[in-house]
Amino acid sequence: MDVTPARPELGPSALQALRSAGLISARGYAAAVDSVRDEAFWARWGMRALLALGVGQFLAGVVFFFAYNWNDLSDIAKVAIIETSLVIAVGGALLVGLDRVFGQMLLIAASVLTGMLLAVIGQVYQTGADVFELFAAWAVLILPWTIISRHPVHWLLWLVVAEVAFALYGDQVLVPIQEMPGELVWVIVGATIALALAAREWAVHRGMAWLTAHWTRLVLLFAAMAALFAPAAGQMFDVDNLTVGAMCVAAFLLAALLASALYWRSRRDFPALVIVIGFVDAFVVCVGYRIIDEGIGFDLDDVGPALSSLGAMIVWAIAATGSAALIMRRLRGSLQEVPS
Amino acid sequence: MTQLAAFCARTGIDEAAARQVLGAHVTHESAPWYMQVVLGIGAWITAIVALFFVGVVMDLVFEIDEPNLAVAVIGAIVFVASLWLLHRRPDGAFAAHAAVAFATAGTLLAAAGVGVPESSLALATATTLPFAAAAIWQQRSLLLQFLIVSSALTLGIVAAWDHWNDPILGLPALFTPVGVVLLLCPPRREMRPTAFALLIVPLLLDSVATSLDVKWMLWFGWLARGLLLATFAFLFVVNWRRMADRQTRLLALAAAVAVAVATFLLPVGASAALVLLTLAYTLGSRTLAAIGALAEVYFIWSFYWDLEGTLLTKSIILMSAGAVLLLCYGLLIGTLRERRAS
Repeated sequence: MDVTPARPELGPSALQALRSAGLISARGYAAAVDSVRDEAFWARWGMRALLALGVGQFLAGVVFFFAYNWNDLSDIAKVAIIETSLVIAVGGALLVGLDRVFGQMLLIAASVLTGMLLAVIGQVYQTGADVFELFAAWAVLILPWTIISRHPVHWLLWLVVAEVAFALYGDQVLVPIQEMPGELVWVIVGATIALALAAREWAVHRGMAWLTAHWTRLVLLFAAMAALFAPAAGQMFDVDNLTVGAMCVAAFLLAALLASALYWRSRRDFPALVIVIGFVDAFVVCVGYRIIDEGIGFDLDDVGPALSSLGAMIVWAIAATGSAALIMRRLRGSLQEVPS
Repeated sequence: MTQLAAFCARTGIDEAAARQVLGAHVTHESAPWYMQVVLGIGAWITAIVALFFVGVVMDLVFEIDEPNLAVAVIGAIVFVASLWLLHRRPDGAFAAHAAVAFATAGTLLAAAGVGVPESSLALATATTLPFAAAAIWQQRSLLLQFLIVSSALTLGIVAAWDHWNDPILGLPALFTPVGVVLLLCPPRREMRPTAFALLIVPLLLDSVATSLDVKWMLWFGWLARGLLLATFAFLFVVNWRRMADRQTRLLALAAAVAVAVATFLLPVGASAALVLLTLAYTLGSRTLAAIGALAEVYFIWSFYWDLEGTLLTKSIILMSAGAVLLLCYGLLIGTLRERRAS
């Protein structure tokens, strides 16, 4: 069942404009809303909201009940409760079928329960293992379900678990033994998300219809750019190692360049370009901060340097965001806002 | 026939006049929201740096290290200048966001300039009221109206907490009915941002108060529950005329009773979120639906940490409320299937 409402010609803003112009009276406003409201969509929404509220509150009650009795439960009972739920979820998914949304949701629930099971096992038996091992085991165990479910949310969950496993491995193992600087861990996280995005584009190009939802592209692009932006921007505030700094900045700029070329020339996607431009704008502001700090210095105790550095920063920020606005306005004219 | 033509025919509005109004409206709001967000962030960063600049000027040049009347006057000047900028450049997204950021900062400077020397939150709140009135009067920026009214509301509620020495729970119930009426019977002047502020800000502050150790419930929660139930009943009456036949009305009544029982059993924040969800359904507002759903999830989650009852009591309350709603859902689904079959 599709829950996406038809894009209405008349929305709340349009109705308010008519109300402000005096074409609709205060008394007649509710009736006017009625006549443009997507009745079928909201009827479905109402039913689903009632179901979600009922299920959500009931399950929350069950969770509270177990939490109340958790300390009194034996270790075997704790593990058995989660394992039973896991079996029910997987059995339910197989029974309903993986070609239906409900079946796919049950398999996603099974993947989440697997993580909970690993956490409880770790809590009960105190294995002394590092946290990254839990996430790595979780990612490995749920990979087969992720592959067969063919659902973007399931893949997103798997990617988050796998990336957290790698980030924790970097933080707990690679950085302490000085095998890798902390910034490069984030560069690799960003690069692997970018690879996932490239894989998504390739799969869509090859005709995998279940991956075509526009949000999958935007979420991956945003995550990749954010993960690459953080270490690159960090270099503008504090540089420890010039080579590492150059690598962080180069990775961010390369990603921005490739994404711009792809979504400007090949895939033609304005919202995706806005994400890239937004991050580049923020990076340029950070570069400005660095240049002004090196040139004048942000000494807020001395009138001259304080006023000139802050003044220069204001001019730089206005110039950077103003340029971004101009670029976006130009691009918008030549690109569709939402790709087909 | 287009949707506008059908709408005008149904409501008896002059189609040509409606087209003219909507044409001007679309031109004014043409930039997509994600573009506005990017430009907004840039504008807000610029405004924050500019405020640092003003702070440095006041500290190092005029040697003012604490807010006083001079700061309040500067705040008022910044606010007026920002309104002027909004009227001069209403279509430039960057300029508009910068103006909004400066106007908000101007309001807060004025409130601090009056409130801090007297150590009075009530005085600071009173100072924001004319700014809120001006923000409602200007019709260029909805964001500005929302931010200034939200600032005034936040200061007012914190002043009330300060007056009674502890945070008070249940305040959303006082503001929610006003917000509901403003959205269902709106005045000619655009006041939806004010309505949203009245619906959301007290709820946010309630969530903050819930997490604090020391707090007390306004009239033990009965007034809040009563007001929220009355608001819910009002929304139900508004929806009543949508239902054509007797069977649908009976089913809707069952659903309403189920939701009313849940409203009565749940913490005030969760009940207010239920009212938001009902309002979203009534108005067909996806924004309100998203806010209501998020608030509902948050307040049920935070119910876990509520020290008023044991986890066992809370689990029984939640399971009962959930069971009533599921029973009602089952009845509705069964009847709909019967009707389709017949």
